[in-house]
Order: sequence, then structure tokens, then C-alpha cells
Amino acid sequence: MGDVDLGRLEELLAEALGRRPGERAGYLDDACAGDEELRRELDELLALNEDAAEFFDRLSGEIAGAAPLEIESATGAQIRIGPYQTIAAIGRGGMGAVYRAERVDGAFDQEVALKLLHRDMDTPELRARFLAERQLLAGLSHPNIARLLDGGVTDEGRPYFVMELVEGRPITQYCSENRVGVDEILRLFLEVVDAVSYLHRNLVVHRDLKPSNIFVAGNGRVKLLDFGIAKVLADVPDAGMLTRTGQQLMTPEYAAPEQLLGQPVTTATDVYALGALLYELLTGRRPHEDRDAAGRTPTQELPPTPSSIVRSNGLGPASGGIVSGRIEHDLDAICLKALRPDPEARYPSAEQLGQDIERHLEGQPVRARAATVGYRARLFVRRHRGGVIIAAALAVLLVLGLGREISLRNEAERARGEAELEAAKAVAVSRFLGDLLSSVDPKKAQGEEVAVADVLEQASVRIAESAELAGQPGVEAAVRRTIADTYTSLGRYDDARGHLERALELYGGTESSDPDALAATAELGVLYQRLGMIDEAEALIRRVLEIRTATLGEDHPASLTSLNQLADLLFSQGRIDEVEPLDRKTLEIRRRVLGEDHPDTQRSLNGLAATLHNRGRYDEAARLFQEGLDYRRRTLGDNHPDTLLLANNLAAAYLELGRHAEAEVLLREVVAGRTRVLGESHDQTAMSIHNLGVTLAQLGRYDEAEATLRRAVGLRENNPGDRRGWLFSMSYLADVVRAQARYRDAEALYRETRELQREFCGVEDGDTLKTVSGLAELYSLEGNLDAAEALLDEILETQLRVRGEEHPDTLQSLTTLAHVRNAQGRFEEALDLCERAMEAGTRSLGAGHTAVLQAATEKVAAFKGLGRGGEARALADEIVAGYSKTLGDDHPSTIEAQKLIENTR
Amino acid sequence: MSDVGEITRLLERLDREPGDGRDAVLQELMPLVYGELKVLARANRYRWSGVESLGTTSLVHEAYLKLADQDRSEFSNRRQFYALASKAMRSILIDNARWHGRQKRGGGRRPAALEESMLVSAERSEELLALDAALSHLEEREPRLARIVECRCFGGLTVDETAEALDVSSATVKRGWSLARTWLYRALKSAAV
Repeated sequence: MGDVDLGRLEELLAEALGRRPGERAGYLDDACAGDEELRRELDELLALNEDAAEFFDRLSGEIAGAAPLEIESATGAQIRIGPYQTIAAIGRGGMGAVYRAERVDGAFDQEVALKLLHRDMDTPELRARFLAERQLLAGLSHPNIARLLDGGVTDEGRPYFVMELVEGRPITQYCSENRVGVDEILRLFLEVVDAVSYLHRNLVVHRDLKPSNIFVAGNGRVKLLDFGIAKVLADVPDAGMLTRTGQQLMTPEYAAPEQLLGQPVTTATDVYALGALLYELLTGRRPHEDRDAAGRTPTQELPPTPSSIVRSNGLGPASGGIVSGRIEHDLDAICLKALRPDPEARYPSAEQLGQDIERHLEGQPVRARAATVGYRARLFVRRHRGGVIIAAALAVLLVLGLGREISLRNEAERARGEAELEAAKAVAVSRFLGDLLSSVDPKKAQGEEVAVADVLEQASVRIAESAELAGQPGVEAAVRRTIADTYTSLGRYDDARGHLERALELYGGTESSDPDALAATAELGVLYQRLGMIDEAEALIRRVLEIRTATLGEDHPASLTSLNQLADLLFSQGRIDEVEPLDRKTLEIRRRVLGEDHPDTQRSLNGLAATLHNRGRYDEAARLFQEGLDYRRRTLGDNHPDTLLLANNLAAAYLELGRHAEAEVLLREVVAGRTRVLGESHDQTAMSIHNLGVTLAQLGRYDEAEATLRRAVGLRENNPGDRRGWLFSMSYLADVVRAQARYRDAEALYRETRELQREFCGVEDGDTLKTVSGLAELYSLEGNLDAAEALLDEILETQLRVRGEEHPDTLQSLTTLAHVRNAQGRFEEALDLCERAMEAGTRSLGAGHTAVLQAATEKVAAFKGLGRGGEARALADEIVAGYSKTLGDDHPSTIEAQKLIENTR
Repeated sequence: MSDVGEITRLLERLDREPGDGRDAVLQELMPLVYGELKVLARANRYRWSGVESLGTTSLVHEAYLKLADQDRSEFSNRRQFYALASKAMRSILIDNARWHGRQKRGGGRRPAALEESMLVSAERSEELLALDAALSHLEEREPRLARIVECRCFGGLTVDETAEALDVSSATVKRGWSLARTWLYRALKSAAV
């Protein structure tokens, strides 16, 4: 072929191509006139022509931009794509071309960014996926996310996406060009976190967060770009071009270890990417930048701390020691926690990462550091209402989630109130405490609870001697409040008290109406409540409420906080009838101030429903829960955490109403939703798995119940922040094992749980007492009456004091003791105990509740022992009817009760 | 004087030089245009996200606009510049592809430095290198065809723009392009077998 004249070849080829295929051979016969080499050459080239054209189209698509030649043909010319008209090409790439465009029909006049995908991207899988996802993605709306406005397929079959047009620069470039300081960086970063949290709540994992996807627009606001396309594309099964695309979507420099290892991608992957982004914003370098340059895969290690990078290179957002000092203390810990190689060790959610940044900005101790230095303290943090009296054991668990929501909100409101504390003071406080915490050997601190206590004791001494704090009563008071708060977390209320009282003194005493003084007064009130000084507590809380209402108005968030604190106190004292009007008032204020649709209003509605639930008004509660659930399904979608919480609470009400099957359906939905959104190891997920296990036990499906509870135990065991929940699940697991008559296994479980609960929760804690009561019941079932009696002697009095007579745990103890008395032949005493339990239980739970029916069953035995056979038979009939109504005819307990009738005959 | 200013000055000289002197000027121009395009490429990477590798077409156009802006008088060298920039783009892309090749042989998994990785994907690198080799053969036999390929393929120019840049008719470009691409494609295919 080498010798053929190219000029001649060119001419003949063009001529041939200009003819219809059928005419080409004839033309070439003539034109070549016997030059066989030329003819062969031309035939070869003609045969390849179409493939060649396609090859070069694709190649130029890759290297010169994706737009096909016909679109290129008139540079700057406008192209119609669906109902859009392009204005100008603004970028091109392997995936497609991006145009600035506008609607032809003027349906809206803002300009948009239109991304036309490359022809190779048009596969049936992609198109199907694209159409399915478009709706979902277009439904996402968040101020920090560039909206996917539209999308479609061109006449030629090429998919296109229409997005909000964002003009700006990548966040890293924006920060370095404007020499943005740390506070501003954190503010921008929080916007990113907010957007990512929003995606997670809507079950979208971004997967490819990196600076070039995160813009700062002209108005200084952050915008996430393109995530929708990333999701659509990443979900398409690998095929040809798409495989490559999929790889491009995951950018190695910003990928999490699990992505590099090809492991599943979850929300934790995005948490990692957020950590990497923060790292780069603070230091100007990616994590592992040195390492990856050296060709090592950093999937097992943490990067060097940001502060060490800033110190050694003088890089970073702004120069000066202040910056590196700040980074050193909190931001190091935050970045590294997000960048842990093990996804489970990172922040459980983007939201919690954001909360830690906020804590840092407010000068509060950050969680990330607590985890490394004083993580033990976390074990003792109790977020739910202490000493709660709730109608049913099950409700205790289920409403736990609710209680958490309320107290978190309180924290947020408190934080807003505390923002009044000047920044300088906050920094001084956190520095003082930060230094103190850093001075403790972390290994030692990790080992024993004593170490945390040591720190606090050191702090107590140092604060008295500190020259730093002398003459700054405001700062000293703030430090003392923080110390008190930490002691409180440890359950050492007496130690907390002195600091808090001194802080209040420094602020000018309880008579002062200074906001700080009021905040400290309120804290002292809550502390007194924990110390059992209820009257003093109530007086302080009411006083703060009064002053705040008078000075700030009842609508002010701080006033609402006080209102909630009062409600908490009354709730904890079982004065639930007094709580209801407070809840109604909160709801009324929120409806008025925030409107029906505001999330806080909806939370108040939920709070009122929970109170009604706890007053035993399950019908009303279920109606309100259902209303809230419908609202949230409508506005937030089925999988939003708040929706799931409502489903959880509605399930609790259903269980009380004997609607077990409906409860099971709801709880399975909750478990599935939380597993998807939060991950299986999240404490809320674990809690709902626990609830499902308890429900299954109630349904008499012990095998499933045991498996489910074992799963909950396994998950909770790995979460040091949820020791209480872990042990609670173990206690229920022991119940289920006992119900299957595996007494030896059950006993071992009860004993182990009891020892751990005594250590972590305290001897007189309600949860601990429940376990002991379960063990006592086990002994009585085994016929080991002395052991059962000894245990009951030990706990019953405390239980009556801590839980109250009407609590299901107490009812269980009373019933067990009755069983023991019957077995001892002390029937009169047994009868008294049964009547007492049945009365209390009927009052709080209703006559059909299983706890009441169990007491009644013992009463039948007592009647028989006393020779009152007629009464025994009548009661036995009632019991069977009750079980049948509450649990159904097939339930093991119903069947058990039927045997009882036979025995009474 | 900045590179941009220097490029403008040289382009003006190119207009005035007689035939022999032009080669010398082109020799001088080439590395400057190369550098300028790389700078633009790096800057452009940040303009629009999601565009993993910004197209060469917009780079070439942008480089031109920058030069035109530099010289406020009527810029008369558009023609030469486009041809030159397309050639420079070829060098950049091929250098980039070679870089990928070295990475691969080195066995390291080091991610490309930003400006290196942006133009050519690693997957496309071998194909590009093969194309460059085939194009060099074609160039030996018919430089005119090679120029067309540079403009169309590496510079991302349209048929009309290529015609303008090479100072020939559009029909000539079309004809040359038809032959060049089938010829190159066959060469690539036979090399791959």
C-alpha cells in the first residue's frame, strides 16, 4: 500500500463516497482503469469508512469535547435540545458537553446549565435508570444543592440533564484566593455538611464529594453540583464505556478506604469525604498527599494531623499561631475522627460531624476529643429523662427515642441561649479545659473512669488557684459550669453541685436576672432534680420560667426551654396530669409562632401525644401519632428519620392497644428505614431492632424474638456511648430465653447483665432492678423459692420507690413474690399481693394488659389454695378471655391460660 | 514580557516574515503556545465541575481570545494561531498520554497531579500514542493531511475552522479528512492485531 499516490487516493475516495453505495463499484472500475493495487486500496478504505468515522467521532468526543461534529459545525450557533436552546458551550468532557441554555417556550426565564451526555452513554440500562431516578432527584430541594431541574432524551436518543446554573469557583480555590479565615471556612463547610445531611435523609449517598463538585457561588453560598448524575450513573451496571465512567466518578484522591478496597459505599463514605474536604481547606493539602505520592495505599492509617501540616509547611487558611493553635485543639480531632479508616469509627452521620463543628465554634468541648481523651465520660451520658415513670415496660423503650428528640432540641435551644456568652469567654473556657484534658495521658484516661474524675479534680483545684481566671468571674463561672456539666454526665451530682452553686454566686445569685445567671439557675434546678431535691428544683425552674416569660415573652426559645424543663420535672415525678397542659401550651405557642407545618410544631404535637400515651390515653395518643406520621410521610417522605420516629411511637401505642400485628409492620419499616439511612450500627437503628425483638416476644414468636434481640445486643455492644441500651437489650434477651424454658442460659445472662448494670447504671437504677426482678422470676419458676424471695426482698422496696407501684417491672416483682407465697402455702399473703398488683396494673395499663393477667393467674392459684374453687374458675375464664383478646388465640400465653382452666376444674 | 505578549509579537512577525524566516518563528512560538495552553487547561479545570477533562476545543478558543484581548488592535493572526494551537495541543495530549504510560510501567498508584491527569484518561492513552505514531507516518508522506488531522482531532476545530486555519477550502478539508481518518484507522487496526 505504501506506493499508492495519496493525492489520487484522496480524490477517488471522495468521489466514491459522494455516490450511492450501489454505484461505487462501477465508478471505481472505470476510475482505476486496471490499477489493481489502487483498486484494492480503495475497496479496503471504503469498507472501513464508517467505522473510521465513528472511531474519530468518539475520539474527538473524548479529547476535544463530547459534542458531536454536527453540533460543533457552527461554533456559537444555538442548538435545540428538547425544549431548551443553548446559548453557549461552557465546558466539555468525557461524559458530555455542558451548555448555558434557556427554555425556548419561556416557561421560566432563568438560564440553566444543560449537560448533554455523550452518545456512548446511551445504553438501555442507563436510560431506564435515568428515567426512574429523574423524578426522585428532581424532588430534592436544598439551598446548598444545585437543583436538577429537568432531564430528557433527545431525538437522537442522547440523555440530557438540566441543572441550576451556578457561577462560582470550587470551594478550595475560593478559600485560597480570598485568604478565607478559619471561622469562615467552617461556616462554608457547615453548609456542605448541611447539604450532605439532607441527601442522606433522602437516602442519597453522594459518593464523589470533592472540591471540584462543591462551588462557592457569587453570593458566597455553597452549592453542591452534579450529585444526581453521579448517582444515576453509578447505579448503572457496568458495561463498556460506563465501567470507565464509574471509575472516573470515584476520584482516588478523595476516595474513602472502603471505596479503594471495593467495599460497600454508605453514608460513612461521605463522612470520610467531608473529613478530607475539611482537611484540605484547613491545610491546603489532601490527607495522605505525601503517602499517595509515595505510592502506598493509605487504607489502614490516619493521615498526619492538620496542625502538624500547618506547622511544618506554613500552609493553611491564614497564617499565624492562632490558627495553628485552634486547629491543634479541636479541629485535628474532628478531621481525624471523620477520616478513620474503619467506617464504623467515624462520626455516625454527617449531621453529627456538623454538630461537633458547631460545638467548636461555640467554645464547647467537642465529641471527637471526648472520644480520645475522656471517652469514658460518654458512657455515662444519659440523654433520656432520668427516672421516668412510664406505663409499660415496652413504652419505656419505645418512647426513649422520643425523649431523645426532645432533649436534643432542648440542647439546641440551650445552645442558642448560651451563644450570648461572648466568644472570648467561650474560647478562654474551652482553652482552659482543653489544656487540662490534654495534660492527661490518654492511655490512662482510656483505662479507667478514675482518670476522668482525676481530670475534674485537678480542674477543681486548678480553678481555685488559677491566675488566669482571677478577676474574670464570668470566665470562672463558665468553667465551673462546664465542670459541673461533666460531673453530671458521670453521675456525680454531689460534686457537680458545689461548682454550679459557686458559679451562680459569681453571677450574682438566684436573684439576678442576668441571662447567664438564669441559665446557671436553670442548670442548678435540673441538678437538684437529679439529687432528689424536687421541691428546690421545682422552685428554681419555675422562677427562671417566670423571669424569662416576663422579660423575654412566653414565645422566646429560652422561655420554651424552661417550660420543657418544668415538664420534664413533673414528668419524672409522675405528675403527668400536670405535664399535659404544659405540652398543650408549648404546642399552642409553636403553632402560633412557627405555624402548623414547622418541624418544631410537629415535634410538640408528638410530645403531647407521648404524654397522652403515658397517661394511658392510648387511643388519643395513637390518633395524634398517626396524624404526625401522615404529615411527615407527606412532607418528609417515608424514610426520613423523623417519619421513622413517629412510626416507632405509633407502634408503641398500637402495642398498648393490643394491635400487635400492626405494630410489627411499623417496626419492621422503622428498622429497614433506619438501617438504610443511618446504618445498622447507629444507636437508633439498634434501638428499633430491640423494639422489634420485644414485640415479637409479645407475639409469642420467641425464636424470632431471640434472634432479633441477639442482633440488637451485638450492635449495641460495639457502641460505647450506648451501654445502657446494650444492657437493656441483654436483660430482655434473658427474658426471652427464660420464656423458652432454657433456664440455665437465662440465669447466666441475667447474672452477667446484673453485674454490668450495677457497674454502669447503679445498683438502684430501674433497669438494674428490672433484671434482678427477672432473675427472681426465673428462680421462682425453677422452684428455688428461697433464692427468689431473697432477691425480691432486696429490690422490691427500692423498686416501689424508684419505679412506683404501677410500673410493669414492679408488677412483675409483686406477681413473682405472690408466686413464691403460693408455693410456700402462704395463700392469704399471695392473695393480697395479687390484688395489689392487679389494682395498680389496671389503673395504669388497663385490665387486659398481660402484666395484670399474670397477676390474676397467681390469684387463681391463691383462690385454689384457699379452697375458693368457684372464684378460681370464674377468674380463670376471665383470664383466658383477656389473653385471647390481647394476644390472640394462638399465643402461647393464651394456650397456657387454657390449661389453667382445665386445672381449676 | 509575559508569554502572551511574546506570542502576540511572534505571531505578528510570522505575518511579515518571508517563507524561510517563518520556520524559525514557528520554532520559537511552539513552546510558548504549548505553555499557554497548559496554563489555560489548568485554570479551566476549575471552572465547571463534573467535566472531568475539559475539551481541547474550548482551550484553543480561549487561548485565542486571550491573545486577541492582549492585542487590542484587529488581531489578524487567528488563522496561524489555530493551526499552531492544534499542533501544540497534539503535543500536550501526547505528552499527557506518555505520562500515563510511565505511571503504568512504574506500577505506582499515585494519582496524577491535577494538571497532568486532566486531558487524557489513562484508558485512552495507548490509543492516543498509537494514533500519534500512525499520524507521524502519514505526516512523512503527506504533511497537509497531518495538519488537517491535528486541527480536526486535537484542536477540536470544525471543518470550516480547519479550512480557515489551513487556508484551503472546506471541500478540501472534507476530502482530506475522509482519507486521513480511514487511512489512520486502518493503520491502528493493523497495529493492534
